[in-house]
Amino acid sequence: MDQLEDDLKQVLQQQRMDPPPGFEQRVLARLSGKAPVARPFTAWAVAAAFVFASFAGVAIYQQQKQERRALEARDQLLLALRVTGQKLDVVRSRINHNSVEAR
Amino acid sequence: MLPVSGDSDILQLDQLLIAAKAGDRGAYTGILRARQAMVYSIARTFLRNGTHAEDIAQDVFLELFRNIQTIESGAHLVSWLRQVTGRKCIDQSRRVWFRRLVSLEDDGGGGYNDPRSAPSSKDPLLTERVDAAMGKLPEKTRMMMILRYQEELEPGEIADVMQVPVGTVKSTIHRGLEQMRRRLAGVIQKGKPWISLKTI
Repeated sequence: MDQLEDDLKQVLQQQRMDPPPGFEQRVLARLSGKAPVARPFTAWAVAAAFVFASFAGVAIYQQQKQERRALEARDQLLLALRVTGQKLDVVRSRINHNSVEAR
Repeated sequence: MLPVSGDSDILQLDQLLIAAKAGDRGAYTGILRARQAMVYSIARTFLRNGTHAEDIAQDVFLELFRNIQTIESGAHLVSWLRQVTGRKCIDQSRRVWFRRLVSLEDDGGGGYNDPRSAPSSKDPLLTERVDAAMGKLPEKTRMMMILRYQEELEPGEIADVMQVPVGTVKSTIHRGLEQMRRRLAGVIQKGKPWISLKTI
């Protein structure tokens, strides 16, 4: 065995270690089928994803609500313009009628 | 440093295995307790990531539970655990998302995403360089190097675990050592440089 192999052996054998605390319980819990398979980090990630999804859902709902209101306002404006246009037509026809009579 | 398996360990495993096959959950727990460090250490050195190593180790022991009736002896059990761990590690490291994750972590200055501190070493530079160089080896070569130098298996035993001919093991390890030698050139050990004063 040369120097490199000796050093490799030394370095790699230093890396032998037990798994993190609670490993045995996590495996046994998974076996029982009632396990929190997730480690605390994963649980936090799931919780964070849920909160993010909730906020995103509320934001999308608000946006859709605003769009709906904007469409309603546009429809009302168009209706108002149509009514105004009709009134103006009536006024113009009366003016025309009166001016013909005046001659 | 954790002990390498000896004859007494294997005898104890034989007894635990018989009981576990008969449905004794305590005996299964005994096997888990006796071999968790081996499985986790192989995965951790291979993947350079404590979190993923634990996932692999959990999966290995779940698979053991499902397949316990097929295990013939304590020695077979140890070999089976190494084989399944090796296969799962190689499969994991070939997944695209895992490669991306590892490359991101490497950019951050090192692997071992472990809540606990990295293993102490008398020579941190050597440890860091060896880790980095190991991470660049092809998957099968890396696993064979771990089995050879961390688990201290003979080429014949590695051939059994990896299910390849002994000649393949020897030539792969030889190539792996040459690659490591090139990448580790310049790292000085005990006052003697291995080759030239190049960096990795």
